Amino acid sequence: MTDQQQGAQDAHDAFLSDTTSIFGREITIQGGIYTVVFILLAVATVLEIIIGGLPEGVLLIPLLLAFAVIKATLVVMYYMHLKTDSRLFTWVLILPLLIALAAMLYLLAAPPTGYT
Amino acid sequence: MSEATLEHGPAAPSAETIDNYKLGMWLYLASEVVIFGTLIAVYAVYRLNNAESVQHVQEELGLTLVSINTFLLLASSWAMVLGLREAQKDNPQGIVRWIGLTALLGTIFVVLQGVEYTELGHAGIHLGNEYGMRFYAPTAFHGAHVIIGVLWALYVMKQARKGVYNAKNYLGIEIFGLYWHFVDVVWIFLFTLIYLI
Repeated sequence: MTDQQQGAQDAHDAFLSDTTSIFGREITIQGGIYTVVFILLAVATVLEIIIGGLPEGVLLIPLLLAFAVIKATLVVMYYMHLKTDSRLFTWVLILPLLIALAAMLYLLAAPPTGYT
Repeated sequence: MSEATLEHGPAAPSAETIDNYKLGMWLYLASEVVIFGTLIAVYAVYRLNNAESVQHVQEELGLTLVSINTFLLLASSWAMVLGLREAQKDNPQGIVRWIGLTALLGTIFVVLQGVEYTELGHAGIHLGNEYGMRFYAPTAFHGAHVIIGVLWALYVMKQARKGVYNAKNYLGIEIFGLYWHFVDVVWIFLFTLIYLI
């Protein structure tokens, strides 16, 4: 078994275990890492709702977007298993994301009346 | 092609092995990224140029219903992975239980979205409005994905009852999971961009 295969096997076993390590501490909870990720997602959502209710400031939108990106990354890495799956899948996701992001930035930069 | 032919081989898939079915699903999701990206971009441009009117609509929308829906969808993703875990542990009853919960939470999400749309309709936000069409396009398209996901979950449950899935053959659940989690990821962005910002 190569190191990469061993790593995939370890990750697979970790997903099946109820014991997981978070911030250096071992936690045993039904569902293991999946439940820990769900709790993190729920806490982040509560924080988002609280922050969303604050008066608008310069940092509000970047902060909310950062929360959304962190939550999405957690789902993609742990629930969709990109953390352990083939890197090819990561690129298949990243390339269209970059295209969509470029299109979005272009549209946002364009004046509302269009270029004349 | 029958589910039985989707034999996954070893219980622990190797990182070096690229499964064609999974690659196919990821390529499909890549196309979805561009479609949802475009719909979100259209909304974002309107939001940038009409901040005051969007704020008025957001006050009309409120956060209670949509926050409940967000938690429902996050919980459904959690139930989904636990269903996959039960397959990896060779427990068909566990698969039916957790995927059933996924389908239930997805159904409640769609019902609550229907309630929200009804309330918005009463508040005068229709497809014909400048805001309405930009709001309904991404959220209803997403809702349609949830409905398809619920139907898919019911199919997975039926297959699990037949004993199709086990510790060596769970690819069918894994591929459904990729779809369902993607729908969850899209909602994470829609919730932030449409309801919070």
